[in-house]
Amino acid sequence: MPDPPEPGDRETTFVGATLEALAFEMKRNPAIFVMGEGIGQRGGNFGTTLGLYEEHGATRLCDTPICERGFVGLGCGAAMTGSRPVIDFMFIDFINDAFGEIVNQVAKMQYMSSGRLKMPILLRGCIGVGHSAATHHSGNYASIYSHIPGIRVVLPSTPYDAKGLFHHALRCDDPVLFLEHRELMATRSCVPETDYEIPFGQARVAREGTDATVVALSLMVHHTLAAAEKLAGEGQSIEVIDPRTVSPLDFDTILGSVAKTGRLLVVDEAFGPCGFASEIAARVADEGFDELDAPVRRLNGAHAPVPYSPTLEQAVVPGADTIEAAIRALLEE
Amino acid sequence: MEEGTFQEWLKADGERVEAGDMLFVLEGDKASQEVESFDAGYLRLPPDVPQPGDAVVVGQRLAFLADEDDLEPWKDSPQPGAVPDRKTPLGQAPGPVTAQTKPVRSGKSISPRALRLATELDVDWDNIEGTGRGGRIREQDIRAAAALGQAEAPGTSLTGKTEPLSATRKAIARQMVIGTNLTAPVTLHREVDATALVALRRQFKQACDDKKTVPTYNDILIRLVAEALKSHPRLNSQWREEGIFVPEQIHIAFAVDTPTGLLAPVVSDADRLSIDQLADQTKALAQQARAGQLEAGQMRDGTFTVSNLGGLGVDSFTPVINPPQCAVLGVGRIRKKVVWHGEQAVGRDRLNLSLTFDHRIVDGAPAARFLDDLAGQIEQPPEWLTH
Repeated sequence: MPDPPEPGDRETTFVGATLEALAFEMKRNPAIFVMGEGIGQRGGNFGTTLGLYEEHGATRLCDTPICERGFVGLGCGAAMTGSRPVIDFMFIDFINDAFGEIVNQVAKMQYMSSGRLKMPILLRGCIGVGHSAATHHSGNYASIYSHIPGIRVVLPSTPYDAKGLFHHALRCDDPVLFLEHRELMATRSCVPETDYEIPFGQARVAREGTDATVVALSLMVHHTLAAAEKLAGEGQSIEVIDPRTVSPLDFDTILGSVAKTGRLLVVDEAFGPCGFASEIAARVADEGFDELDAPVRRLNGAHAPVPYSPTLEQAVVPGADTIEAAIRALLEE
Repeated sequence: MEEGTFQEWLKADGERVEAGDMLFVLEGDKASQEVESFDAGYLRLPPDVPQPGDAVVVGQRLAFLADEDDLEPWKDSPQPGAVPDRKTPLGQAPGPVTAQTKPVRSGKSISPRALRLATELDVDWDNIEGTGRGGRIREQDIRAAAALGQAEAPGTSLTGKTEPLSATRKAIARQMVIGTNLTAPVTLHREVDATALVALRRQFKQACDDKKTVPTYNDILIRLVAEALKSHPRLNSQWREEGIFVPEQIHIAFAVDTPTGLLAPVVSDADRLSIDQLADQTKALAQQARAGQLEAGQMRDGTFTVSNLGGLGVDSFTPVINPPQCAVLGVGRIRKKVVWHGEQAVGRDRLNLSLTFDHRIVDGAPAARFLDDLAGQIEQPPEWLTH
């Protein structure tokens, strides 16, 4: 796989970047088709399939009724038999209606067939708290699905990464859960027009530093960078790592950074218990114990349903201020 | 004890070992000790077995006790954790040695990273105040301490060789640094009239036949110190986090200059010995110390130290507390001096005493009263000394 190109100077949005990748791959690979609610003529609730219906028609952009378990099962069978379905959940919360299909069939089929069957299915949808979307439309499920062997779990934080990872997802033979943060959809950054792949399991060092390491996922990468920028004004040098994929996880980059800084904070807006941050903390305590100059810290969303009220909503997830406070506390340890 | 120097195996690779057999010799802080096996089995020496002279730390795995069916040759490099469970790791020093000179480290916390760095940079973190939460010592504290210790090192034009630190040297260094920095030392100086002491010593000499040991000045002083401590138990006490510990015993340590460094063997229950018994004991202990034959137990549990540099022409000095003890008495040389006796100038034998005590445990006035009592006993030696 060639190295991904320089970002260049053309800007596009997060959604625009994945749409470019999807359009490119659909043109290139006739086995790809999209299923979901409102992804046909409507072009997707977030514009994830905008313009593709006109080009490829209803067979490859297949609107579905509200029956996640049914169309995930359909996608599973299609992937096993040579197609490459992209299932667009709009809000990823509703993937849970298809949990059994995913865990018991999609994730296990390659193993159960001794590799004779492939499972090239892309499951995508938006995650995250914001816009008063309330409790049914604010979930973060990366930890739950990365618990399951056999599924790739991808959480890009920039349009550039989103495009490269989306291309890679549509060229790999494994089930991929592609999680796009609601609050990142409209963000812009420089993205090459050409197609390129970013491999899974390669973290990105979003900011280099020497005093503490912060591992952050998805939207939290941006909040953490803002906090790090503020602390830099006070002479604190914070390293920010964006794993980009949590399964597989590039633990070496995290451990290497902790070896440099001795301090680690993991920021994830999902619930804390049994989560991504706990996993990182446990592995660092295990494999990097002698590197630690302070206890490993986690900063998570509140372990509670997400409220509708905008004020309360902001209170249950980490923001730049709470991340900054958590970094300060870590530096004082 | 945290670290010792491995000396030799007392069993061969593959040899049968019974519980209670002596396995190896370890030079600990100030003493060599044979370490016994707690289990039975066959001694297996792995490829990374320590060589004589290697430093080994408490808790380090030195070798294995294997079953009979596990005597095949070693593979090239045994993986940690790949060792069968039935082999028992060896090498933990038995309790008494561990307990003996464990430095005062209660309540100190240090990050794993700082601990590793302290080992790498050879920084003694006992005396570092941590800047982390709750006083936890962290990386920056170790780096600061190391920078302080090496402040003069960069750009030096000095040439020379570095003598490796022996276990004894390290132990002395640790004790002295703790005695100086982790206590609140104050030294009181007092000149006493030793004319009667000199007369007493002459009397002992004349009374002695060849078989008996003549008590030295130091013996007499140790005996008088032990007696005075009975009335001043605070000077015989120890600082502990939970309170001031007052031992019921009076065990006097005395400093002996040896080829490997300063050692302080202990005369147990010095307050209950006759002067002759005491003289016999100090003589034997000093001989053992100089021959490097003291056992750890003979240097343990001193409650007060007497250090005498009079024989080397020193008038007075400020001795360093030997932790966890409260106090140490420094003894200078006896000199003939002209002193005023009323209106008359007379020649008298004079002696300087220097008492360093831990001000956390005892205040200046009570310490001075102890010194005063001792001075009185020296100036007019009690009759029981000679009986």
